[in-house]
Amino acid sequence: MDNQQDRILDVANVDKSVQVGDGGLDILSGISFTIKAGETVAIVGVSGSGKSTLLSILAGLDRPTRGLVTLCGQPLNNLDEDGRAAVRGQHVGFVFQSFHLLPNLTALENVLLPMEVLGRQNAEETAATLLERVGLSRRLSHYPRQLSGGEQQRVAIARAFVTAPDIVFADEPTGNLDSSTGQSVIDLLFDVNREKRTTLVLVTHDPALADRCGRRLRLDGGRLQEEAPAESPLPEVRNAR
Amino acid sequence: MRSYYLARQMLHRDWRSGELATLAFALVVAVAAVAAITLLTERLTQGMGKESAELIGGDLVIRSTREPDPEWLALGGQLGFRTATTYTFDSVLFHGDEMLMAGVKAVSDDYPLLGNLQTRQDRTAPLQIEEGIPSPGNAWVDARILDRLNAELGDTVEFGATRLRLEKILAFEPDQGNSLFQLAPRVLINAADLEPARVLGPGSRIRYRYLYQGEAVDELRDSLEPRLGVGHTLIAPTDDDNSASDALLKATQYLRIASLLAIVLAAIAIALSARRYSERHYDVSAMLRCLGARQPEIVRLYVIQLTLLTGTCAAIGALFGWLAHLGLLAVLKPLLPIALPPAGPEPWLVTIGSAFLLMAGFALPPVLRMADTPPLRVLRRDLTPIPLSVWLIYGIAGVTQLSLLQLLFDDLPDILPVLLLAALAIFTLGCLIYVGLGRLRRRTHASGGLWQRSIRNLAANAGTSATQVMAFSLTLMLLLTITQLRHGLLDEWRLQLPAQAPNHFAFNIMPDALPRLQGALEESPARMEPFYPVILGRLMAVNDLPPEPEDGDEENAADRELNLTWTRDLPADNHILEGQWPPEGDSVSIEAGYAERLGVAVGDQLRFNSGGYTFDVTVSSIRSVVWESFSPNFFLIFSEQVLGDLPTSYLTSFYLPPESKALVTRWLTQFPGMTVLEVDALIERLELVLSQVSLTVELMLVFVMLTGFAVLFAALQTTADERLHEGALMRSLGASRAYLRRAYLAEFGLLGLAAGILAMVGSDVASAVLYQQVFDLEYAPSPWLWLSIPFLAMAAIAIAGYRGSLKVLKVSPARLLNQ
Repeated sequence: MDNQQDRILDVANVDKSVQVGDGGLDILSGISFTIKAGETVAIVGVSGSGKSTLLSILAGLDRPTRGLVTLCGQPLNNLDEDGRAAVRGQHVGFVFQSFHLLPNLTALENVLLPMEVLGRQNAEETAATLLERVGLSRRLSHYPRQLSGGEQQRVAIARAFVTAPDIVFADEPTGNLDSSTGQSVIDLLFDVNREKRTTLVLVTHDPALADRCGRRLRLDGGRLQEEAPAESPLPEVRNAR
Repeated sequence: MRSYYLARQMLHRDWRSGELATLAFALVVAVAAVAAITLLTERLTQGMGKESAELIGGDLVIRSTREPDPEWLALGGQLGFRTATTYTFDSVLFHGDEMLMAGVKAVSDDYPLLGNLQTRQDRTAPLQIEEGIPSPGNAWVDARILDRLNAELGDTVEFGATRLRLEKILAFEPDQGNSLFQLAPRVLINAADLEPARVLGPGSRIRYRYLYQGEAVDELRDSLEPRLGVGHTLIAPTDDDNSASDALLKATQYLRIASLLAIVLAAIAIALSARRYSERHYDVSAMLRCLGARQPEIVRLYVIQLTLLTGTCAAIGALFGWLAHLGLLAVLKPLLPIALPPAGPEPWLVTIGSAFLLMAGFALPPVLRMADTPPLRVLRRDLTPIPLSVWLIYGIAGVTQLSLLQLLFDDLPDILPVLLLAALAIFTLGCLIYVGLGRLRRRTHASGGLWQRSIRNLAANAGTSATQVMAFSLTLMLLLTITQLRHGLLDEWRLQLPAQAPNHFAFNIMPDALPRLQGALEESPARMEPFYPVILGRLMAVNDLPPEPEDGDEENAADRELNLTWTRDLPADNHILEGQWPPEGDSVSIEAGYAERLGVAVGDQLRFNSGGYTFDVTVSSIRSVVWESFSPNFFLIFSEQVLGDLPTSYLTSFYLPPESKALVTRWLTQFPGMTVLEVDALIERLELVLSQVSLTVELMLVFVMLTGFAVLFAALQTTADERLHEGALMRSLGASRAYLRRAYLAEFGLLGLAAGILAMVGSDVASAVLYQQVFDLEYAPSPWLWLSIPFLAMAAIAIAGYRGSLKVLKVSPARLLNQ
């Protein structure tokens, strides 16, 4: 029984094509699915399969050529860029592959940035608590260049959760990290997500990471297939890495 | 060869991708400005120098009260100069019962070397341009001679032992220059008539001029100088103390300072855009090193690229500059009375040279730094090359800048202190801004309002913010300074020639005729200056010692009859520099230049003789006088007590509109003793020169402005990449476009405000120094500028920065996912 309230993301018949030279190139075609609040969903696929494009459409960073995306009850198609920005500010958090911290802001200031954009007052305490939660309580006034890659991604995770979003999108969150650092960052991401009862959608080509999610959606040739959740990862997949 | 090919390929690709646009734009604008300014300056100064030369009669003139050695003329001939001689002296002409003291000028065959004499066949006939001089036995005379001698053209007058036929009315002498106050009406004769007239002899007060016209002026000057004795003076067009050459000199100085500023601005623009270019190319360098290129190869690669780029931009810029200077000349054309000589190779060499010097000084250091990029950057993007020593960078930039300036300005010491002062001021202010921003950052609250957030954001990027403020304020300061200077110069020139400058001088007005003449002038449309009593007198002693005559001073005021006057009203454009006005009791006010020549100060004793009556006076004040003003001016103004009882005539000047000229003839018959001198021709000429140089000054300003825009553009570009990234991130975090717009307006507005305030401080200091040191003008800071400029700067930078950031609002935040 789908409760309308539970459906945080609704995707119906989404296509995306781009102009390349004389003709069009279809990146996504006929994508439809629904994500409920509290789910963890991995979008997997080979490089160039359109994972990042799908993610940017889901998060309202980009528009589909056709089809409908409803995020937190808001049909994105009806909104202009500023309207979508408002939805993102209210409901969405991001974790990027290359962190995208502002180099001239300290860790604390980077985490505060979304709060400033929303005009929320006295957010410093919230931000500091979150940084403490990700294990950076002694790094508040450090600049990104003074932090390791793993630490930078922790700051980015704190930034993603600071506004208490309904849904967090993560784009290859471990792509720029070595495997052990990546592992601890992922543990952190899932832990915080669980604590904050947030919905998590992540794009990855790392099967181990995908397996930690409740659902797995595979993009292949621009089409989406729901894969059966693998409670225990297949040994041959591990070998393949 | 392989490097060259690769360099060309890379340059081509960078060009295609738009990477080089700012750098190339800055360089092209700079080169165009330098080319236009140097070409125009050279051609105009040559042209205006020619005109000035016309005013003194040659490219070099020997002025003398003793007969110069004829060998000196021959010397000029050997160096390829055309030469001529003039003799001027006062002599009496007789016609029937009438006699008149005339100012005779006898000229040799090649006279005039520059320009032409102009005559009329009768009073109402049109002006006629003469190719030669009167033939022996003929005289061309001032119309006043006909009036005063009661003669007609064609009549014969006695001149010494010979007779002269009055052939034409002399309307214009090209080398009239300073002889405006020539009291005796002119008679121009052929030098061949001097011998038969036998007017010259021992004791005759004759003034000689040897005129030279040709190219090798310096060489001639060098060979003449050691031969000249007491009583001979060499003068060149720029030495001549007249309004036109003064205006020319100041305009030239202005143009040079304008071009200096254009170069400084271009240097800033190039430094800013080269830095950005190099920062964007760290990846390329790292990749090349990964692929096996050694450091020297990368250096070579970029040096070749820079050389190709500089060469291309220099050629394009020079072409634009050349076109611009043609455009400027076309605008000036109605004002240019003579064809300008073509420019020599020098402006081109300077243009190309400055392009390479600019690039070597300001683009090479950051670009060379690229060669140091660690190859590991391919894996770790945070790795950047080790910064070059700051001293090395600024050392190279400083040395090239100085050598560039040396190339353009041979009298560098004049402006060097101003430049160093400005550089020091800007550097200090930059450091202060940097430190100040650091402090502010700690004080502002992270979740404050728009302004607090903007300040914090500027503070977070203290380095680039300080650089931008410095670039903006330096640009604005230079623009303000050059605009202020322009105001100062134009005002001074306007003051010199008010709309209705007196175009007639009237003198020899007898006291009994004075009230009637005053009445007549008041009824007419004439605009009068005050009437001054004139008493002829001679200086006899300074502090009881005879005054020392000056060598070669044709107007030797120490040893000639002077016009003395008395009044209690200070003439309008006179200023008391020292002592008290008005002169009371036995005292005199003395003109500053004259006082300096005599070595006289306030309190000194002077003795005069007028018509056998000797009197002693004390110097009570020293005055400045605007000699160019066409109003009556005096070296010496006494109290009424000293001169009041001496026989006197009166002198005035007045403006009469052209349509009322007939009145002059009526007054001349009404007041027979009076002499009226028309100076319209001189005024017209001065007007022409002044409007010409004023316009040039205005046009030059446009060029400096253009380089200023290049800096603005380059400075905004330095943070464009960061802003693009930051903007995309902010938008992904939910910031609306309105939010970003407000943030950009606030940030750039604050930058502009800070730059505007700093620029006002800087330009007040620089203007004050330049006004006093270089232009000899008074400087008063303007409260209006203080009230308006910071806010104008705020608005201008806010709008420019905002417009530059519009791209951020358009780009999709989805690009963050692809990085």
